[in-house]
Amino acid sequence: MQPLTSSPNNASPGIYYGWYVVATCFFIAMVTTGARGAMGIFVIPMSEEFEWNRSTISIAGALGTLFNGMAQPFFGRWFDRHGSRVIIINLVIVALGTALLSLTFHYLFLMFLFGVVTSMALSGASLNNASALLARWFLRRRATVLGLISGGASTGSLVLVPFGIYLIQATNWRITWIALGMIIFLAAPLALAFLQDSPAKRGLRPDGDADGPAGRGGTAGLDQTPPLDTDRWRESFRSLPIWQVSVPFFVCGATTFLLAFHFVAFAQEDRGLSPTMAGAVFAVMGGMNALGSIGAGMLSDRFSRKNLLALVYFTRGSAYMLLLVPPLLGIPFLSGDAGVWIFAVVAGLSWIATNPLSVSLTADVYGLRALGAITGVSFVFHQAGGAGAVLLAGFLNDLTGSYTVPFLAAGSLLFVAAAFAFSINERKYSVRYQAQPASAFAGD
Amino acid sequence: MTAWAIVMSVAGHHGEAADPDLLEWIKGFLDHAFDPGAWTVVAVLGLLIVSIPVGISAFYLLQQRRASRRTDPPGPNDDP
Repeated sequence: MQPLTSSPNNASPGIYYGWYVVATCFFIAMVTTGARGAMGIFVIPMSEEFEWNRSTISIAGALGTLFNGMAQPFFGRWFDRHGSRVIIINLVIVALGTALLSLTFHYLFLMFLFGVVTSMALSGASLNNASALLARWFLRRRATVLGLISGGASTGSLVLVPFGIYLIQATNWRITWIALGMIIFLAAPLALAFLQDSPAKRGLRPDGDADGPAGRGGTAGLDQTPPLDTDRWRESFRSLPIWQVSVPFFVCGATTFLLAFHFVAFAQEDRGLSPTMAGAVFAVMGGMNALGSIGAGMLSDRFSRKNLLALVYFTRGSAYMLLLVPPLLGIPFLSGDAGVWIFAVVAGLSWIATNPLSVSLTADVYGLRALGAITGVSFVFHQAGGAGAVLLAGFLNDLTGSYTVPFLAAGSLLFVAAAFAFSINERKYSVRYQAQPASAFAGD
Repeated sequence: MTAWAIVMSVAGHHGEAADPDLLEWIKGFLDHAFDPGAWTVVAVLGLLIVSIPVGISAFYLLQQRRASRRTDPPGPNDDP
């Protein structure tokens, strides 16, 4: 594998500026996702102070999910037109909005500020837009850097949630909201200093290369316009590849949301784990996210992206089957705790690994001009799959008294998703395969 | 249940991004592993978070300084 900081024909000595953009996007993803993930720690103290029932705060979260998901294509389009300033402006709004939550005095205030304002602004400072920005800075290592910032989002929850838990214990929830707002605000000057719209604005080329194709690892052709290059997201949905990416992304949302909302209950009710053990298994799953995302990104810069994407879906599907089938067949070892732990590791590794692969594949096929909007619409597929799965799993659990049926259905869908991803004609549509020998990529 | 209530109940799960069991486990794990005071954890994690933007900026400035040293033409009194 090539060294990360230089290439054989690097334009200038030293660190390529794009890596500062990566580091900044990593920090933005970390603090915004982490602070968002910390919402759960405010449920009890705020409910107690205002004598709200917990569903009141849940509704604020619900509004947030809806607005965040629905706003994504619009903010993606805004990014496509105006670049990194969209990320910076929305970062400041998220920071201010988060700090102002400390002034909460009425549930309508919470719903408006958290559910609408910060959630929509978060769409502007989202992983989608950061990914679209980084796709401009990197060609050969595109998926690697997208994997890194997806890993940053995972790391955020691991760091900021415990930070918030202990800060609430040491002070109170109002000070904790202010602290989280200030942490997000830390990213604003960093973004202002380092986020630039494209390498060309600094007189650089993507990856820090000198002129000409790099000629190694299938980089020839990356200077060309992708076969389906477009500046309109609607146009992309008139072609097959975006459906072959988005339909599996729907399944991705369904199978990850299912775990996020029902796994702890499944582990306790269907597998008899204690609540703390179930929490531990879930934490391990979360901890594996970053590793899987970074690893998948790095591998897909060397090999065919669609094959790896199919492999990730297949692996997650196999993990689901490993969790569910042994108890049905009466295989003792895998029916106990060991099966759950193996599932946690394998499913955790594949959890967000789909993101860098899907986004980089989309960029390779449709170019960069409408990437924010296209991936924003794809994200709506993901969220729709998630919402549908959570609802259906709850319904089927009520109906059958177990999570086996919905989990089996979800696991089966992952194999369909793998087939969809595998069927993408990357050689025909991806810019990585243009004007180069057929054998340039291994594994395709 | 109305359609709106169904949507809210579904998405409501997502609002509580950190599962209470998970939060309890994380806190229990940290308490058991390090037996820290609350402020100790806050200070350590806070420093970790702040060190990232400070580190990125410092590293960039250091690189800039090195690059400018490398590209500065030698002065009349500099040794060849």
